[in-house]
Amino acid sequence: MREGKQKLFPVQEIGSIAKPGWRVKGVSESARLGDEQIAEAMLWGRRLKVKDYGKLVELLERRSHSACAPTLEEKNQVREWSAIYALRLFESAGLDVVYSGEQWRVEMYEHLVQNVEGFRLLGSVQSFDNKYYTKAAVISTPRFVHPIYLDELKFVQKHTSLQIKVPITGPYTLVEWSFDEFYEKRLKSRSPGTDVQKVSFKARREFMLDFVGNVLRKEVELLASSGAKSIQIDEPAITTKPSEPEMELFVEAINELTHGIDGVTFSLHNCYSDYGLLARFVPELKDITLLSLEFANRDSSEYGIDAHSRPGYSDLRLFEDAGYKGSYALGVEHIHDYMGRPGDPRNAQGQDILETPELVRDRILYATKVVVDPARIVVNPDCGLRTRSWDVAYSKLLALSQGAKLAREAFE
Amino acid sequence: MANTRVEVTLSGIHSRSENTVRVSRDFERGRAGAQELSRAFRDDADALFALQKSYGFSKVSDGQLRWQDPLRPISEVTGGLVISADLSRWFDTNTFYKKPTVVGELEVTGWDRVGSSLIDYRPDQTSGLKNRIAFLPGPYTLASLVDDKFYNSKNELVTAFCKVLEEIVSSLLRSGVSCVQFNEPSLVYGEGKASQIGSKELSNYRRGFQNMLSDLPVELRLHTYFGNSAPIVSQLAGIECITTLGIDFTQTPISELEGSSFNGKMVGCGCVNSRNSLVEDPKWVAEFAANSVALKGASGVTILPSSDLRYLPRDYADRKLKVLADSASLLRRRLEAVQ
Repeated sequence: MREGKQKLFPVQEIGSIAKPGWRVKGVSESARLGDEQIAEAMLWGRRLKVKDYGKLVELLERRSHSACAPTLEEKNQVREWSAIYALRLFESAGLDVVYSGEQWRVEMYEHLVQNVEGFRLLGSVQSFDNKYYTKAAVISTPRFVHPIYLDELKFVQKHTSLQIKVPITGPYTLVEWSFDEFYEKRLKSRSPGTDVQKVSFKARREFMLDFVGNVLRKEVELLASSGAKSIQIDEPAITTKPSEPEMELFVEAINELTHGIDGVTFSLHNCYSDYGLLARFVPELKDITLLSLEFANRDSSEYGIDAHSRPGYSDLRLFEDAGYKGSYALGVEHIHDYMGRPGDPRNAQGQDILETPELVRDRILYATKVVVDPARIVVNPDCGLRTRSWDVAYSKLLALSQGAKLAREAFE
Repeated sequence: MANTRVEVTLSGIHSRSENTVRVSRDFERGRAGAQELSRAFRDDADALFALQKSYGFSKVSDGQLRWQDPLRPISEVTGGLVISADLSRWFDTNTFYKKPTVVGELEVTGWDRVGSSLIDYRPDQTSGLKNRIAFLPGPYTLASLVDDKFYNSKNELVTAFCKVLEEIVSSLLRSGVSCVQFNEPSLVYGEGKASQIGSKELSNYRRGFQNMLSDLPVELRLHTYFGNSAPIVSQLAGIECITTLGIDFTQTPISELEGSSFNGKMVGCGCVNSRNSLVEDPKWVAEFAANSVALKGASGVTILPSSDLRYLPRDYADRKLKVLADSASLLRRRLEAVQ
């Protein structure tokens, strides 16, 4: 990320954006594409000046008249087009660092477990309200069977000239979000009667280190040897179990994953977590030079670059005080439904808040007051924008790059 | 030993079926209406009633499938609480809740209106099943998980929540519930073996619980989970009005309870892990439950999941129900044989 030293406050997305209707129905075995999805593909194709988008429209129209399920080739074509659209969206919005919007992946967890031996998908579990996620169980030692993210990287490399950042799902999150039908059982059978909590922790450690050693490290080595310069390890689950042994395990797993991989800059993404706890352990992450965190969610939407106006960014001090010396990928835009805070619903439209470039600028400028060196700041939304419509995501990304430009101008 | 009571119940909110997941997702996206969603919840609850009935559960529940989180219905019917839009993590799980803020004196304002729609009584499904159980967050957990901007101390807040819960339990009684289990993860959650509640706080808690809830003609149970209950088991077992004290045995080594007394209460034996899909062997569960009923002062055992089964996909949650039922049958046979 620091390769672009000459440009202050480079702008990036965190990873995922929503899948367009034509992307979802275009690969579905049962859903039929309609005029609405085809119109959506045409609209964004024109708007983003996607080269040859008419070929996508032809494909979708052909599919809309077909009674058969799409072939594998047709599905792949739809996925490729959606990655191209995502790239053009990011480029058009003025981002400096881009990727595919994770259009090739079902979802960050499911994509990983579906491409690794040793897991069985079990079903849906509630996350909150009417939101759910699919959970899998580890049923044997995880094994690498084929590249997980490599094809996607190669495709992106072919279709953009901008700097690329590859998001991958981290080992702690993978283990935390999986059931364990293998490790704990094996340990219990080896030493019956052992303290339940000790067994459970030991099982988690074995699982995590196996996953790193057998699977993720191999993938990272492949990505590195294929030209990946920047890899973002997504670890939303880090502080779920807020204890020192768990945090030490997380540090051990990340260091094991990243050590000795030359030519790659590693960043860590975490959000909606206990930063007080995380900050204590971040300096121990030997190869992480960029820390990507959510802050806008904790902030007000008032203008200003003083501490009172920017309550969400006070947690930066936790990391500075703990001795973290790397850079920050600063979350400066909210990504969830925005219900407003008392006296604070600036630019809220329905469940979206559209930050202005000036608000983005103020958040960046305040952060530079805390971390002193402006070259340590990269800017992005709090997390992936997959919960927002493309219209809203595009508006937010435009404001993001315009806000970074204003901040740059303020510095210059 | 043959007179030892052996019961089986759920521990809280059950997992939604894949159909309800689908319909509720569609509802969020505007592709399904409120009626369709309500029908999905009713069908889901009916299936769960039928399952508990077929397995011979001692007390049955609708699984409280409509509850968006374990605090929400309480927050929605309690004046003085404002529900936040932001999400907070529910203990060390990957589920979240909307944290309420206390901005004024707590009082129940609409349980009969709102609450009754959140529990599926379904007299057609429950006919012949007199024993209905409901699960509520306990006063200490409520006081721990809200953001308090009104009361002067946590003790005052616990007392205020006891009053709120008393009204809610009265309302549930009128609707046919005969047993209420208070779930109190906050009493035990945390790192290490130390109790998370101070001795003064614990005394206040016991007093509040006793004063507010003991006069109600309802069976009251207390369940502690997500942590090691050993340090406070004897004190909790001293609360006179509860019949059962639940322990999360995925977090509490049974050996650490050897010095504790259950003071004549039933042991709520939460040894069926509600947070892992590995389905337990009923023989192992029966053996474990037999050991728990042998703990000092235990008058019987209720075999239950370690916590709410909503952390598992529905299919696996239902498989665990069968394990509960099968293990109870094995244990009953074993106790009869001893006689």
